[in-house]
Amino acid sequence: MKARSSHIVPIVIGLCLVFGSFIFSVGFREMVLRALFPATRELIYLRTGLPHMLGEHLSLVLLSSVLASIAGFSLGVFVTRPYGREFLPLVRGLSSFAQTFPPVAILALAFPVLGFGFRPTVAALFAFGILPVLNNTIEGIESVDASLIEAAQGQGMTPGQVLLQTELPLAAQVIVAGIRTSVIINIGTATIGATIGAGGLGTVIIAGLVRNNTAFVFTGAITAAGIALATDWLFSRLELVFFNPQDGVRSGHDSTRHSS
Amino acid sequence: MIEFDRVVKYYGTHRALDGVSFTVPDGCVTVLIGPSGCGKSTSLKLVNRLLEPDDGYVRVNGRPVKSFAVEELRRGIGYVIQSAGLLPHMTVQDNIGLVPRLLGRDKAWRRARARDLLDLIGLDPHAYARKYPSQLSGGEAQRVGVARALAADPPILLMDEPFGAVDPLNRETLQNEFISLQRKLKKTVIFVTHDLDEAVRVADRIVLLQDGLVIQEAAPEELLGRPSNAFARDFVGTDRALKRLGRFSVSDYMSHDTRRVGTKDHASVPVDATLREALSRILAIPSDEISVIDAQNRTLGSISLEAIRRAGCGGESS
Ligand SMILES: Nc1ncnc2c1ncn2[C@@H]1O[C@H](COP(=O)(O)OP(=O)(O)OP(=O)(O)O)[C@@H](O)[C@H]1O
Ligand SMILES: [Mg+2]
Repeated sequence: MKARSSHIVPIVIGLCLVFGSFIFSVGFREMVLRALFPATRELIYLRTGLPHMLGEHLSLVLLSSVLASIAGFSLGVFVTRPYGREFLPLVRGLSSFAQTFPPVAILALAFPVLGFGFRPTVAALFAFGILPVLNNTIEGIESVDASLIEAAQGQGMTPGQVLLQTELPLAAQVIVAGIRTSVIINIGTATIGATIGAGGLGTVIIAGLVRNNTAFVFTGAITAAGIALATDWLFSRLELVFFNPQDGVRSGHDSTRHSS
Repeated sequence: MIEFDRVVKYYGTHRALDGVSFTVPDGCVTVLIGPSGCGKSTSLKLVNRLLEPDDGYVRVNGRPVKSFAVEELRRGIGYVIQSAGLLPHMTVQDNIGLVPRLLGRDKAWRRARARDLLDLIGLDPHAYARKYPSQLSGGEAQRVGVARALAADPPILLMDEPFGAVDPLNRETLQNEFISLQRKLKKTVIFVTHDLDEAVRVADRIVLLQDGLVIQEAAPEELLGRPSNAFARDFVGTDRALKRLGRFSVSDYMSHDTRRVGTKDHASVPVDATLREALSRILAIPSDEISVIDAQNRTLGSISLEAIRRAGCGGESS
């Protein structure tokens, strides 16, 4: 484990440097794009700076994902409590039905109601981001062995203690995986927000599509892909830190740990 | 003392307990036994209120369990289940310290207590305190489950097939450890099993259940000697006389006359063995008598086939 991460660190730092230069240094970006698209005359989108679009994009994603995670998690916990359990089949059914909706459709439905701009896009991303968190919260909690919960109750834990000290720690990994999925999906989906004027990396992509400029499309797409990868990597680090490979939650990692 | 007073429990329309009454005396091991589905686990969960009765009362020291605050009641009752029920995200010492933590004990106290208990149940504290449940064998996990139940020193222990998931050899070791532990601790124990041999080994009293009804409530010798009906007779089996011999100690039935022991064969039986073992050894030798020895291999006397037969007949109805 140690040996592998020491190889990975310089690679990650290198990638961050290249990626950072691409975003923040216009000169470097122009150089890269020129090499890739020698035939294109206009390589740099001048209406809005890339760092600015990235900022808009991140605030769209951050705001919608935080809200979606809180909402999905709370709803998932609610429908697995004794007092909310009667809603469980309904919520499960609705959420698997809603997941068949393409994000564009949600956006298309959102803008006549909420209008153009930042807020309807956040609302649509929020609605779409809830589902993976909700599903994983329900599945994570439901997969905790019933006899274990009974044992915890039998030791004298209050319902709140059973939730916080037994159910959530054991479901945490699945729940975090849901949040991870939700954020990654939102990073991609947020590009569509540009079509209703929310800004973000979609702006340069749409401009590229309209003007038939592949360099623009590439600029937006590669940046979105980059932050998606970076986010994914951050989540994987987070899981390593929070979910001790020693404990039963990840008992599958036991053998690798001991054999090294 | 724990009393079941005409307790009725339904699951939907299925009547799991049909007016069950029995008494669990203080400081004794009372075994609930019966075929699968007869309502043993259900009865146990009515004591710590994981379930509530539909009719009748469960009383602890004369007080209906309903009148206790539920968490308070449970923290005063040790609960051991078949799969041990250890929380996989906590170390062994944190699992053992769980109830003390719920009761507000500080960390240092809990650590010390966990180490004492690991010692008591025969696991090295240095090696085991920081392990996770996934790193324990089945038998070790069961031992830790017992330690956790004992951590807050509750007067009552509920044990639901505590050694059920352990192989026969280890099960016998665990049973013997449990018996000697109980001799020291004198807890009021309800012990659920469907293994008659286990029941005969650990019980002071046995409550035999069938389809949510108490068939017989008796000392093990009596259940084996005088099963009260056809079901009970069937349940204790055709070798009940043999099993019953397992309840008696050689020391109570031996003769202390050392002159009578012949020296022609070297067969002997330890003084703390059961009559069942003594019988088995006598049957393996040509003689009707076998010498009884102590732990230092000194001959203390002998026991005869006749003495064993007389012990076996005592209380036999047929
Ligand atoms: N949660 C439940 N819902 C419905 N029926 C149940 C439930 N728990 C138990 N039962 C039924 O109640 C009866 C008694 O169950 P209980 O668990 O007390 O049996 P048991 O004596 O412990 O059996 P075993 O030896 O198999 O553990 C059984 O017929 C069982 O099917
Ligand atoms: Mg049972």
